[in-house]
Amino acid sequence: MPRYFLHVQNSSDILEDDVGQDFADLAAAEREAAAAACELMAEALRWGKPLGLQKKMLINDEADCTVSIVPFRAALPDDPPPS
Amino acid sequence: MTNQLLARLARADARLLEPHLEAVDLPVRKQLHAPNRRVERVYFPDSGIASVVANHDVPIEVGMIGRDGMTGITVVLGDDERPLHETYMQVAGKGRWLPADRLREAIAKSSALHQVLLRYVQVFLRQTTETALANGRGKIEERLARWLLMAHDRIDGDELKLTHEFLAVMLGVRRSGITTALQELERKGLIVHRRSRVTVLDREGLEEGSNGAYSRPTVERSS
Repeated sequence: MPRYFLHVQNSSDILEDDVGQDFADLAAAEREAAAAACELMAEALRWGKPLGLQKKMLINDEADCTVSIVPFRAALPDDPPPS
Repeated sequence: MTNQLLARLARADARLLEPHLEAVDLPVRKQLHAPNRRVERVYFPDSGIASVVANHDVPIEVGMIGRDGMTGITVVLGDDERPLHETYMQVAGKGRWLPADRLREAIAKSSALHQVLLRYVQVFLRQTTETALANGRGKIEERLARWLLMAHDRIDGDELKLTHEFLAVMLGVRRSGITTALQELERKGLIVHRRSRVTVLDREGLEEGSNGAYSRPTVERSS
C-alpha cells in the first residue's frame, strides 16, 4: 500500500504531516483529504473562526512530490439544486 | 512502577489476590477485552496505558486505564454483562492479570476489597463523564490537551510514544485535526512533537489549554 502525506497549505505556510498514512490507492488518499478538509472547516465554523476556504490539502508521495491537490472549496458537499 | 489500586489494598486483601496474580507483558495494540465477549481475565497495569475504544465507523476512546486502575470493571459490579467496547494497549507496559472468577471469589470473601475496587469504578465513571463532556463541548485542541494530561498522569517521564493515527482514534477525529492541534499546542510552547513522540513541556499550560476539560488527576504521578 502506498504511503501518502496529507499537508494543509495555507496562503503563507504549510502545516506538515510528517507521519503519513498508508492508503489502498491515491483515490483513497483523496477521499481522506476531502473528509479531513471538511472536518477542519467544520471545527473552524463551530467556533466562529474563518472557514479557510482558500486552503488546500496537498497529497505528497514518499518522494515528497505533490501528486494531487484537494482545495477545501472543492471538498464542500454540494447543496441539492433549488426546486 | 506499580499498580496503585493493588498498592492501596490492605495486607489481608492483597493476600487474597496475590496467589492468582500473574505478571504479563502488555505490548502496544495487545487486545485485553474484545467487544461483546465475556470478561475472562482482569488486568492491573503497572505501566503503559490501555484504552476502551468504541468502534463505529470512526472509532473513539471512551475510557483510559493505566497504573491507576484495572480493566474488566463489570466483574467488580457483580454482573456478567459483556463489555460493549474493545480494550487494548495504546502505550506499551507491563502488568498483572488474574482470572475473573478468582477476583469474584476474593470479592465474596472481603467487603473491604470490594469497597476499594468500587471506589475505583466510581473514579472511572467520573472519567467517562468528563470525557463525554469534553467530546460534546470541547475544541479539538482542548480535548487533545486534556488527553495528553491524562496520558502524562499515567507514564513515567514526559515523553509519550504515540502516532497521529492513534491520537486520532483517541479523540475520534481525523489525523489532520490532530496534526493541526499538535502544532498549535507546540506553537504555544506546551509540548514538542516529532513524528510519533510527544513530549510534555508545560503541564500547567496544558491544564489551562484544556479550558476546564481536565479537572484534576485521578492518578498519583510518580515522577
